[in-house]
Amino acid sequence: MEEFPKNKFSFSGSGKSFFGIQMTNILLTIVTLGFYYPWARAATLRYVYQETEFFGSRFAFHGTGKEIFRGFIKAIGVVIALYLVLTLSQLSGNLVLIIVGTLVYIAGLVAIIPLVIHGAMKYRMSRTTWRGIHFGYRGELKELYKIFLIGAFYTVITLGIYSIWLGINIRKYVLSNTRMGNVKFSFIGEGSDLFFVHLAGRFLSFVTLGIYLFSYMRDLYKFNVNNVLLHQEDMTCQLELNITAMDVFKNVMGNFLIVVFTLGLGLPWATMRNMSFYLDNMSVVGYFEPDKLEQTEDNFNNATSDDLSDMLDLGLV
Amino acid sequence: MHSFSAIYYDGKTSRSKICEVFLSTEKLTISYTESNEFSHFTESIDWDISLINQNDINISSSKALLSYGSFPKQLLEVSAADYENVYLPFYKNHPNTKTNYSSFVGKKGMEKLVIMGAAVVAIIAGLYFFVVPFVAENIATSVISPSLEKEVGDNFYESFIEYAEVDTNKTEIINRFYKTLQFKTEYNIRLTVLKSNIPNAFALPGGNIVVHDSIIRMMNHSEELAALLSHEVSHVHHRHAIKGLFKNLAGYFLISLVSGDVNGVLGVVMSNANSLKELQNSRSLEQDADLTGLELLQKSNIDPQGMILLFEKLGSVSKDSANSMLSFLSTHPLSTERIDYIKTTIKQKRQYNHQKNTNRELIWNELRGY
Repeated sequence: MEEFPKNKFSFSGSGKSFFGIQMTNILLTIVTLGFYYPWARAATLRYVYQETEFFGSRFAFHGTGKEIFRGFIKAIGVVIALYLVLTLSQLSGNLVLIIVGTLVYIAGLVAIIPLVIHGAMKYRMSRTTWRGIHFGYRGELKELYKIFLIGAFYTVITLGIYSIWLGINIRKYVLSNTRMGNVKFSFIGEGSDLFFVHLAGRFLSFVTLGIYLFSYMRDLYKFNVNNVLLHQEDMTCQLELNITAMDVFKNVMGNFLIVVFTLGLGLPWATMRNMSFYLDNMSVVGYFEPDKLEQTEDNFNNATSDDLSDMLDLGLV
Repeated sequence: MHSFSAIYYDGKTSRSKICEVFLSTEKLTISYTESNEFSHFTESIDWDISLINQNDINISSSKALLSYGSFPKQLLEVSAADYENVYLPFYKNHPNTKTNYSSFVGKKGMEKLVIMGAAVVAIIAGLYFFVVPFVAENIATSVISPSLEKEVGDNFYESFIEYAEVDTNKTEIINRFYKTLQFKTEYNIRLTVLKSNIPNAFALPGGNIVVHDSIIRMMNHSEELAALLSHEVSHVHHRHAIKGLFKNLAGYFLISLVSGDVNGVLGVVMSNANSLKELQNSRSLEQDADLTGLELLQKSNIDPQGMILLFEKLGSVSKDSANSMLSFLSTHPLSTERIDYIKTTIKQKRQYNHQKNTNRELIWNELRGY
């Protein structure tokens, strides 16, 4: 069988540098009563991107605190408005108002998710470059809403089981509309595979009193990474995450011990260790021409959602 | 001549061009060799120094990325050594070379990091334990007017009472009993007796006080009930519920602010830490209510021994039913500790004459069903 070329990612972030960045961030965020947060976030992303290497070149994040601040203010506005509706209706003591208020709150949260994914992808991709080539997101909000609402409906009538397929459908749509110059992406994982990973993982973790949990985590990571394809003209290559359950165990336990024994101060080191764990074990398998990417994306200017997704911690992007 | 080699990207394709960079005051010249079928030729590009974007370049990183102009940006990938030893010294005073973060990871970095770490911990601890509770309490009392407090408390009372079994007869009697105590407070105190086997009593914001009938059954003297009510009225009078709520919310707010990017383990540890502090908070509120209660009893000339009797009984109940670990973590101060400080306070207070009020004793007997 033909041996495909393999090219590794690498991550060279250091805990010490990241600690300096995070401490500055925390201090300024507290002193400014939280308003520094967007700048803190931009600084964090900039650092993480500039330490990530692919074919010998670093990624770069060009977003600024000011851009994220705009999104941050809108995010705070939306969140406060929703909480106000919920709180005021609860305090009114009127049963009808309580029900209506709760429904508006839930509907608001649900309706906001596609908007958040869409906005976050558009903003984040437009601000990400590699060798000066911009990433881009070309998905349509309308399409995403369609996928999301249909999926949400099935999720409700299947008592939540369909949420696995919903997640996969969103991932497929989002990735297939992501560009890295003229390189396209796709996701080939299927809901049934992920369902089986969850089923086997939960069952075996339970039977083995948790020991299998690390294999379960390994399978989940691999599912998310190894199903991503990169298409460059007529060539296709695949991401590959090469980790064992033992690696996952060492990573998780190591980070846990670092954080606990430093009373949280070691968190920047744990974060960097975690990033290295994934990126140093990730590679691109297949033919890829790093010199042949072309600039294809337009400049895009809207930071509305980069931060909403962070506040709601969707973990989808 | 100030120059170094680097890798240049033109912003149109990802092709890397090995180039030589020459520095001069106004501009930076990038020169690289291109070749086609026929010949080799040298291309050179000038970068206007003022259009080089400011980057937060970290010197600890092994490569520095300079970007130029607006979209699509041209790039220069420079080794950290050249960036630090040639580029930075040459353009020392140029605003583009200033970075926000590099100063923290310079050569004497570790010392600074330790100092910063300690400063962050001290500031957060100071905010969490002193500033935030103080500010939250003041905001609570200034923003929430007593009438709004009453409205909120009454709403809560209405929805709560729907699911509880009210003893209407005893409720009527206990309200008459309360009137004989003549406690001074600006709140309109309304008492409700519920049928329940759990000995308990609590105050809602704005003046509603709920007493379970089983706690009344435990009492042998009218002074014990008077002491219990003095304690609960003090909660209402000091607006403890609203203050406690604001303090807890503020605590959570600070924690989520600090742990903004944290999820998982640390988040859980931190939120548990906050609930431990909540216990601490409410214990100090309980002690507050005890001491104010004693003052109320004194002003109405009621024997303060009732409070000691009451807590001795409650203490023995919690010993019987719950284990000692639970009672340690319960919101009320440890019973023995509590009785001790109540005894000390009574001793310190000026002695006063207390007498039984005949009307009150009659109502008490009616309540106890004698």
